[in-house]
Amino acid sequence: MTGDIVILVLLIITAVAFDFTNGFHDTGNAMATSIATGALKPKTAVTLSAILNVIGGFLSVEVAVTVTTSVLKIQDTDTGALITGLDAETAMFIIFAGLVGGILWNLATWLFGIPSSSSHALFGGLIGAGLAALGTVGINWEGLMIKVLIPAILSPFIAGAIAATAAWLVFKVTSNVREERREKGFRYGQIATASLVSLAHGTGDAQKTMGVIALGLIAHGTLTDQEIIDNGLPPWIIIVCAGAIALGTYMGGWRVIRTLGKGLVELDSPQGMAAEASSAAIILTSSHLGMALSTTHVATGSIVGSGVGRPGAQVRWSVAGRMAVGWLMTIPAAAVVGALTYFIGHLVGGVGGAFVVFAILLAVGGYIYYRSQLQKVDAGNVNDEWDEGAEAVSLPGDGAVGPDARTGVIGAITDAPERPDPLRSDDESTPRPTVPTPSRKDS
Amino acid sequence: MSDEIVEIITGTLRVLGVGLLLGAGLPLLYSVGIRLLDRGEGGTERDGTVLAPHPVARVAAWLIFAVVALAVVYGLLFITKGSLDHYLGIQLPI
Repeated sequence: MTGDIVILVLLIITAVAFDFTNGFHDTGNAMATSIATGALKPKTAVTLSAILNVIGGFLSVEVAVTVTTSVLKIQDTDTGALITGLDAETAMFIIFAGLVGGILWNLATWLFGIPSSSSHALFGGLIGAGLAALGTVGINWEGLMIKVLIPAILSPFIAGAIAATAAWLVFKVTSNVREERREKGFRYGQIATASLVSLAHGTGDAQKTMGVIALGLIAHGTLTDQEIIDNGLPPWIIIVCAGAIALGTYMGGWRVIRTLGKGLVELDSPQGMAAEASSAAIILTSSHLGMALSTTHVATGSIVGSGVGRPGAQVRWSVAGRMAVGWLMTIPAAAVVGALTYFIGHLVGGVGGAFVVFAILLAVGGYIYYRSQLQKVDAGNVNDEWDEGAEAVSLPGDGAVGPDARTGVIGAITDAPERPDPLRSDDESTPRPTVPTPSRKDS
Repeated sequence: MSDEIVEIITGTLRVLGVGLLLGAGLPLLYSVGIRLLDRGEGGTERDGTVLAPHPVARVAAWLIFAVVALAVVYGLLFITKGSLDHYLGIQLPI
């Protein structure tokens, strides 16, 4: 069984990496509005969010090891134990390949600045791997429809309606209040609501990875479902997962933050608070009301809604549309990656297969990171004017991502003339590393 | 399947109802607080009229902020109730 332990270790490392991408992909859900309106400096916002995510992670005491049951039929729905007839290696490879699908989709959407649901990415990866391993019988189609797809379609509309109502009311009531007092007053409200969303994110999302790691241990046989029921999760799982999601949050998925805070709609404090209050209210209550909604879908719906509700605000529907396309693609795309990864791992088999899968993950992940560095978005330029057509969120066909020297579009953000930025603190105004992009002159 | 459709519809309506109450109701309350605070401080209004400070409005504003803060604290306790019980043995009746 020495081979199995190697697969298990690689699986756990991959799970922690997924947790990390989950953190930096979702920082924007809580903090984009506060960063965009200047209620918090960019670095302060991500630090606060990271701390709250750690606390949230440690608050997760009732972890669901039944994490895969809404989309797969590989676990007992009550105890979380593996179904009989499924061998350890197959089960571990399904989880492993599912995680790889989730991570790569998270990284790809991050590259384009699209806020997409990390849970959907994970579910998609698991579905693909499950299909590849077990065929259609391995999939919980009903669960996929009722617990994943339908809530995902409804949530942006629910969140949008609530945020639109909130924004409309807020502007109606405070229309006579002097501008500077209104901005100042709502900044406090924004920080409080954004903090609630961060905390809720730490409790909800760190838990998913904890569940995945626990499931890996159960599959391997190191841990039994009964031990978890009796003693709770081993503390190292909680510590590692809370740490990874917080580190990810602190790194700040600036590309996603920029799209949410600047791309969808121009935000000011009252509107930001309306959006975040709507997100907080829904995220905190929905699972207790029998409908678990994705933080990302809710947060995005709320921000768009706050733009719809505010008199005179303009929503960039083209950006919202690209996000919607990204959401629709999440499950199928992650599923394809999950299935391919499973096939490759299974074809090579055993420890060698696990190493091949891990190497693919590192190679593709590294490549995406390299591409991201060609058009950097960071704490320094996250709030620059939105320049449609030159943004990371544009699709590859738009020529914005990729070193297209002829158009010179790339680097438009970083090459923009420096404007005085009230949000930039001293340490953030240090010169950013030069971006190695071809400029117009080079072509 | 029809049971599930009913479940989805009731779930949606409940989330929408509670969400409107908390997600739009609390910002509304907070806005009223900000407006009262602005009135309470007095000074030159947007249209140029000068108003005297209004202490009652100011007190009312802070009362409203206190209510909103209590709602947020309740939210926090709600998220943490499982952990408070687990780590400290405190069982909250919420």
